[in-house]
Amino acid sequence: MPTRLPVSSPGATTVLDTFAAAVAAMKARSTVDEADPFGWFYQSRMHGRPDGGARRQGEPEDWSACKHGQWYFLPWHRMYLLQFERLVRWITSDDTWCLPYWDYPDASRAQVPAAFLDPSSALNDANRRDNPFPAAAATWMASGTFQAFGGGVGAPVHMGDHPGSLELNPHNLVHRRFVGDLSSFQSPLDPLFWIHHANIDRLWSRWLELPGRRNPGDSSWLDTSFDFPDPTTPSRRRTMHVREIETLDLAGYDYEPPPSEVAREEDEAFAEPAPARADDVLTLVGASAERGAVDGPVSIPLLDRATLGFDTDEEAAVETDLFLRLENVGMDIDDGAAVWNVLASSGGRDPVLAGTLAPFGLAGLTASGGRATITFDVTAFSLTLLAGRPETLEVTTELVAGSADAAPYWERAALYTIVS
Amino acid sequence: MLAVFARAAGRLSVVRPRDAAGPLVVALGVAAAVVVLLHHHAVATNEGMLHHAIDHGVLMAAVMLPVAAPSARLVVVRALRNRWASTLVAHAIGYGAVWLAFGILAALVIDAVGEKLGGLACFGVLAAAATAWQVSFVRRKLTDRRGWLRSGPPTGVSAVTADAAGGAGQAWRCVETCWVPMLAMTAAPNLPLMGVVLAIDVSEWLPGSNPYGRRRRIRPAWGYATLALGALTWSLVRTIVRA
Repeated sequence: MPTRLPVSSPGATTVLDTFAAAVAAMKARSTVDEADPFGWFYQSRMHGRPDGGARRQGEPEDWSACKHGQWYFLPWHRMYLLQFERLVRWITSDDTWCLPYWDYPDASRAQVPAAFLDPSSALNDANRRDNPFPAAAATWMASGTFQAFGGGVGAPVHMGDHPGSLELNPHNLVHRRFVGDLSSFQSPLDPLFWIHHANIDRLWSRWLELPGRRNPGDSSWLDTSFDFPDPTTPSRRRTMHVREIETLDLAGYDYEPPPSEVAREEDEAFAEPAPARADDVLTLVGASAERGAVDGPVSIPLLDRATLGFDTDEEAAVETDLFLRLENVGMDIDDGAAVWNVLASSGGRDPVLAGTLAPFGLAGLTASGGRATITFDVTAFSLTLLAGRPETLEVTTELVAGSADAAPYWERAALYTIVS
Repeated sequence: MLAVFARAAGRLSVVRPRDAAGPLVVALGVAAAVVVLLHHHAVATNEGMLHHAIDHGVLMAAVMLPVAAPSARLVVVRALRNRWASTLVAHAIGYGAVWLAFGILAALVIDAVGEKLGGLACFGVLAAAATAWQVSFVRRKLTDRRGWLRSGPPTGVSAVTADAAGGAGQAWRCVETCWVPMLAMTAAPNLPLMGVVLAIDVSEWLPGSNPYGRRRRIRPAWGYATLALGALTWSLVRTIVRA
């Protein structure tokens, strides 16, 4: 079975040489004709415009077709990688070539592989600049349902409003780890995009190995199909259904495990996975009355005290399922670098890091009339946040990268729990 | 429509019965009101244009209310449990109010245009217009344009007004994308044909082998085109026979 290698493995050297040759050939095709479906420019525009906006009249149907912020995020990108892999094989006449994956341990430690830094290599992107920020808590493996992990239910629009935990971190964070093409919706112009998304694809398959985790069984997800250019078919098109690629076995390829130190960190994270949870039983226990923005704290009154167990004699001795949601988040200006930490506190205690907000694509969503809802699982901090049965929860933000001019805002900050 | 209900019911099944009681009572009340209004419309006699227009507006609101079920569910789960029923009512009122206004306006317009064209021909022309609208780039841009459901304050009068405004906003986005087929529905000469137009309209969102993307929106276009062809042909034949 074709196997995708970690980019840091010794065996990846020849794979990267072939990759570079293919990128050079595709760039040459685009120089001749920007509308060549097998050229570098066209391939990147299939993902999106730099501003993340919708396809414009007269542009090819394939353009601005990527799916984010909903449950087609993972299957669409898997298909996108598969068609790209076929294209590289066709253009290099190397039928065994497989896309390597970027084996970063987390977004803050995503170091660019040497082959992608060589100015003479087609794998380099002159627009790429470093945008370091501190480590953020990885919460994607805690998501019990596919909707929480891979994105909320929704029609396959370009930019949906309920990104899953994997999309928020590490997907968005790695896009923001570098300023340039990679931090925009035209990110496939930077060859790092392809190895980054191969890793996201691998993490989907790892998540499925956890107990109780499974893909949606809903036919509206499984039977959805997307069209892509394909140089290997007579029609030069290929339609893929989600049910054909929803697992690696079905898609017909595999991943070699990451290097030992990365594998060890992943194994530790997987060692005690949180129990599978259902999205639909999230129950609101408190919400802010005022709109929120990054320039000031927001107070969430904890109104449904009975559901939080505040009406019993004893305080909770075990963690309570707790989710902090920023609802209808928008953003008008995007410098491509802004990253924010979202902090939560109660009772005058030190704040905890609820999550990191890397607003990848958010300005495009806002410009097209949408808003996103961002959910952070703060169950691990529930004993601290709910200690002493506080009246309110305070939410603040801090800029950890980029400019404060690019400021997201939201309609409401809310706290949810699970009612069993 | 059935798929929409089934999906909404499936999502409600994970909610505790006592929490779901309020919204369910409201939903059943709305359903009963829809049946009564449909019956009333079917037997109503012509009592003047204004009465007819208001009657049609109420019918339009009643027919479209079930389409608000998915958004109502999302709004409800964003509310405190003791406000679920009132949230549902406020959302439905906001949603229904927009369709009521559209229905009244549509009846007045169709009455004016239909008199000149003839009832069936008017329906045929509007069905043809619905076909063109369905495949137009303008509509595609509108359907691709993202909307969002408001998250209001958790309690108080402002929470109720936010819920109602959210319902109205949701309805306005529906009007924007399907006002032409809804005009055709208004021009339909009888209630069953109105139902056919509505079914064709909703079919765009039913799951099936026809994938999402540009091809899915072709399905309703074929339906409208068939209706247009049938109505215009029948209208022409009738005119020739009468002549």
